[in-house]
Amino acid sequence: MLGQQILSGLATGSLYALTAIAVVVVFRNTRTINLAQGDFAMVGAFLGIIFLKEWGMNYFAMLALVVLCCMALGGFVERVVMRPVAESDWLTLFTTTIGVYYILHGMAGWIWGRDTKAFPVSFEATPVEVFGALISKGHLYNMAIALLIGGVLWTFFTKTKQGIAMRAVTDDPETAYLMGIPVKFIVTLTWVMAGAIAGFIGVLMAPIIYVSPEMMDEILIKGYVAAVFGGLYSFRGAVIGALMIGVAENLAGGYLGSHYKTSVAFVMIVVLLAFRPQGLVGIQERREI
Amino acid sequence: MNKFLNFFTNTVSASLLITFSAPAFAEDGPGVTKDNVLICSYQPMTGKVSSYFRMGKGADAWFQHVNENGGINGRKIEFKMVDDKYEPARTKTAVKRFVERDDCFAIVAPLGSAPTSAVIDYIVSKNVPLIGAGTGAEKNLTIDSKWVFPLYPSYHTEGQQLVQFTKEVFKANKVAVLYQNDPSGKTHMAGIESVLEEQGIEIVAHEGYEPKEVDVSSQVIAMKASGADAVICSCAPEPAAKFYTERAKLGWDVPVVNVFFGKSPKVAELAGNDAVNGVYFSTIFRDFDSPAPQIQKAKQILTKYYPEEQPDAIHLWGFAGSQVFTEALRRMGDGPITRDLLVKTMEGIDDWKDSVVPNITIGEGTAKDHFIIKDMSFVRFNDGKFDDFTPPWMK
Repeated sequence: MLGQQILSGLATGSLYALTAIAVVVVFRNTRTINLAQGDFAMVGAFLGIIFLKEWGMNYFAMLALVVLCCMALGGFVERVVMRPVAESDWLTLFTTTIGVYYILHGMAGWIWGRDTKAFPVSFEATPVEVFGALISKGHLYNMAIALLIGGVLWTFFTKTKQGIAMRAVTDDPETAYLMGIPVKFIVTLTWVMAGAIAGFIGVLMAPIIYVSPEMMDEILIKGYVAAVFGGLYSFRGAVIGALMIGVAENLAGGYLGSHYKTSVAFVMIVVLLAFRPQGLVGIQERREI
Repeated sequence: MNKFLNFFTNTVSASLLITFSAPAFAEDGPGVTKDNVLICSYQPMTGKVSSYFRMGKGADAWFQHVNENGGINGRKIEFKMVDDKYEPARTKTAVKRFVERDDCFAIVAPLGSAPTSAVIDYIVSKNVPLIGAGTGAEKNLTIDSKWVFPLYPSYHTEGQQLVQFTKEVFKANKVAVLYQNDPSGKTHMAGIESVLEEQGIEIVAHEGYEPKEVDVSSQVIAMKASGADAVICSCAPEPAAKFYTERAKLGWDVPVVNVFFGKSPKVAELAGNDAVNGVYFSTIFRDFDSPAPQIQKAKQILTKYYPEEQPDAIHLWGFAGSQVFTEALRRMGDGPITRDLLVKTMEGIDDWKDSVVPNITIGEGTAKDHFIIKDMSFVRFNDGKFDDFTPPWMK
């Protein structure tokens, strides 16, 4: 039972990990905690239903188009909503994303309805045995894609010129601007990247958690906690945090009782921040201005 | 002269205003005018359990139908629904407004155990009739008040019957239970635990889940590890679908009986037919496929006003409460419409067969005597259909 609880916890943690990565992408480049991140994915999931059911697209074409649409949505939100308040303090930025969250929630409910919908691609529930424990193929795909996206982003930010430029904007936007780095473009690119990740999240999660305007609410909270757990700047920390929360929840649910399951993530974050306020992988990777 | 004219004009205007806005009878109850009866309902129109808003849609479809056919004794039904998201704090605010601001005559066909538990004391303290609430939590069904007319048997009673079902149909000795961590699930658990000794059944795992929980994998793993030879699932449609998906993932071929509030085509739509095939559900209504004319009429009405809805049992909860309310209103005739009279008229309904419930007889007394539906039955899911199933003790 222990192995099974851990493996299932890793599967759930991989759902949180993708969201945590997206939260980190936006935060480290714009210092904005994007509460609307989950809703980008939710819009992607609804669009996925339309592309599959009404447009008759195949899975991969649908995935590509959803990712493109979510990139456009991310770019649009940055250009129209976030840029006018870009110079404001973190609280204003944070509050603005709450506004985006409610607007997207409301519009999704208005356009597609509030009822929970099934995603037309059924979740691949066929069990696969790993070290004596069972996991579904669908969850394995998700874990692989979470690791892949985390790896791609890590490589992008550490090995490519554009990625390093983005990090420069994070550290010191003014100096970066004086050095000729197109700061506004980089910020837009950040939101487009967050949209792209959301597109993957929406399509991958929809068969597991089903599609409704509120589908991402709980996952966003856990993803955010995981991102804070990892120090808010680190992809590695976010993924480790998400997987730890997933496993801890399952172990608490399985051994202490299901009532402890939902609170364990918050207990973990309180304890961690009490002893290590910079998060799991925090201080070495950031420089306060 | 001008002053006199002004005084005269104002007095006449005020008198006219009072005359035309006053109830038809001076003694009519709150929310009743000569043209309208205002009734109210709280519903999870949005949120994680919004699939239960079907109840509100069922009731609303019935009231729209009634209004389109002239209303009841010349009065139209004004049905006000407010979204409480199944969050008791929101329900409290909504109900306070219903009573103190809107003057609702009665609260009809609202949904939810936790929301209703949060407001029922307030509702009865204000002498407001609460008719056909979608709740099986013990408190809401046994409250010592004449104003409450519960819709269906208590979850306590249902829990007891489900234990009997696992014993007699599954021949089980060790049972695992998955339940919603709120008053509905806890009442089921209490009912289940009350007959374990009598039925010779042992509970080897009882796992709760929160309505907003992302997955129930840890619970299902623990249940499987317990060695249970049957499962009772006290689950709403979305969590039930997650349970059946997880059960399929683990290849756990254990017989399951699900409580009636999870009986919805939504379960198979979300989890897939294969994961749900063979699962038994308790139920309180005939299926929408039933040839009974009352059910076919309800289907026709629902499809007319909510064409996008796939009819299911939860719509019928709304029909049941709203139909018995309009029947009582009809029986009150052209006389005064008061809350006291409504209760007396409801209590006089005996062997009434014109609603989606096969037979309604309501007794005199308090909530425990006022049940609109008294009997439960069972169905078995098979490739998209719910087939009737009669357990041995009902034959």
